[in-house]
Amino acid sequence: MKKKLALLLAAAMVMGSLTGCGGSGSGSDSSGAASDSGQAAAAEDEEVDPRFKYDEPVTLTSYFEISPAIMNDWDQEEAMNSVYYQRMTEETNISIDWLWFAANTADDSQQKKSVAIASGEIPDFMIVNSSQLSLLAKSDLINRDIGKIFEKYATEELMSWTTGEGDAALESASYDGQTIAIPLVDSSIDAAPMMWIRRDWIEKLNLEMPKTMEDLYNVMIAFRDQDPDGNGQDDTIGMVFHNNFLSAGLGDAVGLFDAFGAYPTIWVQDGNGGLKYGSIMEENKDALNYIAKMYQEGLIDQDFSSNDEVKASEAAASGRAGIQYGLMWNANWPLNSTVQNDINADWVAIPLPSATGEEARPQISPVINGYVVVSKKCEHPEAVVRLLSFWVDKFGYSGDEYNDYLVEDANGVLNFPQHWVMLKTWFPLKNLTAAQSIWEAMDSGDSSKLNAEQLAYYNDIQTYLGGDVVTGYGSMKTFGNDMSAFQTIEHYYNDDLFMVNEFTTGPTPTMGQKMSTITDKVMEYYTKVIMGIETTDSFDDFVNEVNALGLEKITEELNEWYTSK
Amino acid sequence: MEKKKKKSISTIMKTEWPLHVLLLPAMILLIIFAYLPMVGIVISFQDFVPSGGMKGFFTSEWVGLENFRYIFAMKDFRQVLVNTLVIAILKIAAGIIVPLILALLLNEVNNRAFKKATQTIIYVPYFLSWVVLGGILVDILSPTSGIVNSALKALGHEPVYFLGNPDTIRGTLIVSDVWKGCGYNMVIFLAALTGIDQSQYEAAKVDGAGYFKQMLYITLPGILPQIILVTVLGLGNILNAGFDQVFNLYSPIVYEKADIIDTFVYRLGMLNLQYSVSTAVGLFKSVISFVLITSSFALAKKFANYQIF
Amino acid sequence: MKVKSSPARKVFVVINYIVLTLVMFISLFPLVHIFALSLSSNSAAQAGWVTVLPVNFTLDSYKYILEKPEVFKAFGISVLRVVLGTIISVGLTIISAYAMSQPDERFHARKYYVWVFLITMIFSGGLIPQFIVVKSVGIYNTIWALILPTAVQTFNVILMLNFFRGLPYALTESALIDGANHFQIMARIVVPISKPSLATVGLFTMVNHWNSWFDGMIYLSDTSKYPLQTYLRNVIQSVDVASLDLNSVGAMTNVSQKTVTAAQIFVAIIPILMVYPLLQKYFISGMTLGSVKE
Repeated sequence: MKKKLALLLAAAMVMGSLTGCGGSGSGSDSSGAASDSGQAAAAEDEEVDPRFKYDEPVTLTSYFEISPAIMNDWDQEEAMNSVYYQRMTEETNISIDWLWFAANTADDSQQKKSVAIASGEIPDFMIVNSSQLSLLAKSDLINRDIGKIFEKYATEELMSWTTGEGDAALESASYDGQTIAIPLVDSSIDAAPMMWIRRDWIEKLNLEMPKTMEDLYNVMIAFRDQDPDGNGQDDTIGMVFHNNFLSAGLGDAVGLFDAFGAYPTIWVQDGNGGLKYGSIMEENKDALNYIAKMYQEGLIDQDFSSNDEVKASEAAASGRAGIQYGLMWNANWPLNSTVQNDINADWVAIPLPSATGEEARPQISPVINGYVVVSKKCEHPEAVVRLLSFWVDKFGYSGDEYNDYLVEDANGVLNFPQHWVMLKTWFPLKNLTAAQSIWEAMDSGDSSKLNAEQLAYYNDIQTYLGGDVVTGYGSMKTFGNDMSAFQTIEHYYNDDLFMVNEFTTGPTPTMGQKMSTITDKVMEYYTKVIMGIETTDSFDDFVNEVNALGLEKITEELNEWYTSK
Repeated sequence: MEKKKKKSISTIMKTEWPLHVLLLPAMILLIIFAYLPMVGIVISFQDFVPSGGMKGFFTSEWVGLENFRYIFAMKDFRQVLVNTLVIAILKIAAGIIVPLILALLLNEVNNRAFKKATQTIIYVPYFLSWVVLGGILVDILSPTSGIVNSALKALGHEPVYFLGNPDTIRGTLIVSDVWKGCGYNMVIFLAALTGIDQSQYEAAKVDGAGYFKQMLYITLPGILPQIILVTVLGLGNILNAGFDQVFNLYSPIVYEKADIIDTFVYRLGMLNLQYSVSTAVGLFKSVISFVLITSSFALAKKFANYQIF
Repeated sequence: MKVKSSPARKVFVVINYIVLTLVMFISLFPLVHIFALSLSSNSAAQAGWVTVLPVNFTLDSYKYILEKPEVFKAFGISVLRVVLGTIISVGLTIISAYAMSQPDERFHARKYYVWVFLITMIFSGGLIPQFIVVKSVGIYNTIWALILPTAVQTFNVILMLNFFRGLPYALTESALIDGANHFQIMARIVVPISKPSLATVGLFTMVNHWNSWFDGMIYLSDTSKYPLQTYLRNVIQSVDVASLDLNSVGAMTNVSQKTVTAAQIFVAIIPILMVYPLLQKYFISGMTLGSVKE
């Protein structure tokens, strides 16, 4: 995996510099490629200019999902009339008719999509999750040639981003050997679990950074009992924990399971050439017993099972907890708010402590933010590919033009308005590359090679180092050179530690139907063990139960695919 | 029947046509928004695959009773059924007893201002949506920072994890439901109480009946129709254990005790995309409700001589 | 009617007042708590220090939402929905309940209509077919989608027809014999003396409309058309953390402001606190009518 990534990184960098102003010429016209509106998907082998412009205006219908991150400041007019959309229409002659706007939550957006799919009235293009995709795969609603169209019309950059971590992304969108959707990829290594810990507390109590799970236990006990915040009250806990602990993000326990060599929720090799489901591995027992002990001894909140991530992490933000598992962005939010209450709060990222004597292997999965399906009724399926290419050009390679698109967010920081764009995909190594460039610039003092995004982080870090800890906190802790998140990720990356999910195809038939029941069951059983309602003695019964619920069938189906791969 | 009364259709229509006209708007709306969608019930006998609009209802593969076999084989479904019945029955019982007691207590208050204030205030939670209350309850019931548990701790009691423990979730649902809704039934009962002819009490006092006897022989019979109405309508709703409330308060850890038919149907259909199975569960619920409602109406007529509809 | 009180009676009265006062406190506590939260500093709120009084008093939350037009827009939509929805629904309830309140001998087709109403109370095609219908009727993404599908409430029809049945039979019978038709009787006799009970059913309808959030999410495509409860649901809803990445989290700082949420909730409650006491006088007498039987 690592080699592949490195190769692609090199390739993409070269392409980046070659096409540095690829999209800037708004006059880079069609050269007849897209021809007349009706005739777009012309002959198969015809060479096309992927940066074509339609002669006639083309309108695509879709829907808009408002990210919770911008919900509070959402201004429809502003977003839809932004420079990004103006240029998009200028350069491609494509505009989008948004049929609906919804918050990106299970109840709002997912439900609207569910209803739209069931009623068979899908817009020209829409972004769906894998279970929605598997239902659509059976229907007659979508254009099944989109894979071929994508191959034909995608720019090299778009293609390299999409296949940045191998073919897994495109494979996962295939059904009966045909790619029926365009995967929107994201970085998998950015989603590697790590540990966030308060260095100021460690130092104050004369402790060492934990390397083993035993160390960790002792640190948690100390954090709980020795009044690390020095307020004279017994108000601190060992670690942040919540009810959604198998979902890597914020205060979860994925990194803790990994420490024991257990990889819940992902599919790993079973040692006999096949795959097995990580949630039923024997190793989970040790991890569960460890957490159950934490629960019993009050190292985690007793009401964790009613707290979601945001609620649980208030403990860290408010200075009640000094340890949490999480992802690289945690310092940007919510850990950054700790420092608003306590100027000395010094969160640092460290690699996962281990229980096995070997280095813990953080589990990651190919990250696909969604699948773009195109309606069968859409007359210009290639326009969807064109819009994706447009995004890649502008976000990735637009040079100085990049600055034209920036908008101020709620905190007064200039950002590329990525939340205003639905059709977007990412270069998997973008952030690690950014971090490395920043470290280089910090060493040399020369920031001229940094791109606009990197420069913004760099400037934040300078602000932090200049004494304004609060403003620059997130960037320093994420991209800085003092125990930052990306130093941990680079360590994982250089030592090739990632445990990668082997499941890279579309959902199997039984999976689409039963998987959610199984994951519910897993959560229920794990939670009970942690709360002491059950013990790991019943682990075998639990395994039998989930197998009966369909996991056995799913494993069979999956191995059929895996062995034939 | 018309023949028996020896009236011809035309004579009947002559006086009764305005009644048909009055019902016309409601009938049109019901046909469009209630009866037309019922076509969709067919997908509970299909393996539904969507296809433009209503078309999918006719093009999907028929699977007979397969979906029903599937749900009855599902362990979760049986549990959901039990949950629904237990929660609903307890809610109905508590939702009558508590408001009745409050109404009787309030009826004894002579201070008009106090009476009015109490009534107004007790009714207030009824107006809050479960969206809002869900957020508030999670806060105040938290074992670590919630005010309720702070009070328990002050009394030397272990914190109780109301929303996250399968043992307490049903109690929490019922108490919070009564808390929110008791104003509704209380006002119905109170109105009936004020409607009782005061001369009956005067007469009873002359006969030397005490407060207790007055309550037993005048007050309770006086509001019996309301109690029956509320009970019977409640019984008909026995499979509706309160989607809004449960949806805003439950979490996976308490599914085994708190997941009810409606939330189950919602998750199956909207999140797991098992449209056919979810419709089958809904149909099952409707059939049972149909029997319950019609028989409870008949019961009301028979035992209380009260014609609800 | 004043009678001498026995000592036992006096004790009862005192306990009664205490119990009812306690009940009042319990009923109001969450509101007070939310109000206190909305006036507290965010850090105090996060730390769970706020009970019934604000901690570190500040008006920041209200300043913040005053600058946000969305809340007030959603508020306005809710008000419009309540007004339109209540007028239409109560109107339909009156005319339907009047017809259905007629005894079988005055309305021979009545028993068939009973079934038409009853079945809709029980059977439903489910969300998907309802959505398809709303869309094909052309009211999708309009306020009518929140009003028309639920305009006929069988439950309210039942309530009101029982009020109407409570009216003296002779009142309408003599009018019928005098040759008045049903329209006249309904408009001139029944409705005027039923005003209080109409207010009662009206209030229930208003509350239902005010509190509905689910249909807003299904039938409205535009978040800017959401009524207040649907809007709030999105604000209160927990965030799907798994979907966050580096680029989204910066703005999250604003989302987790418990105090702002509390302020928004409180704003949503204010109109209720203002309107409900005004309607109360009708309310009680409205209920009374239903119980005057025979």
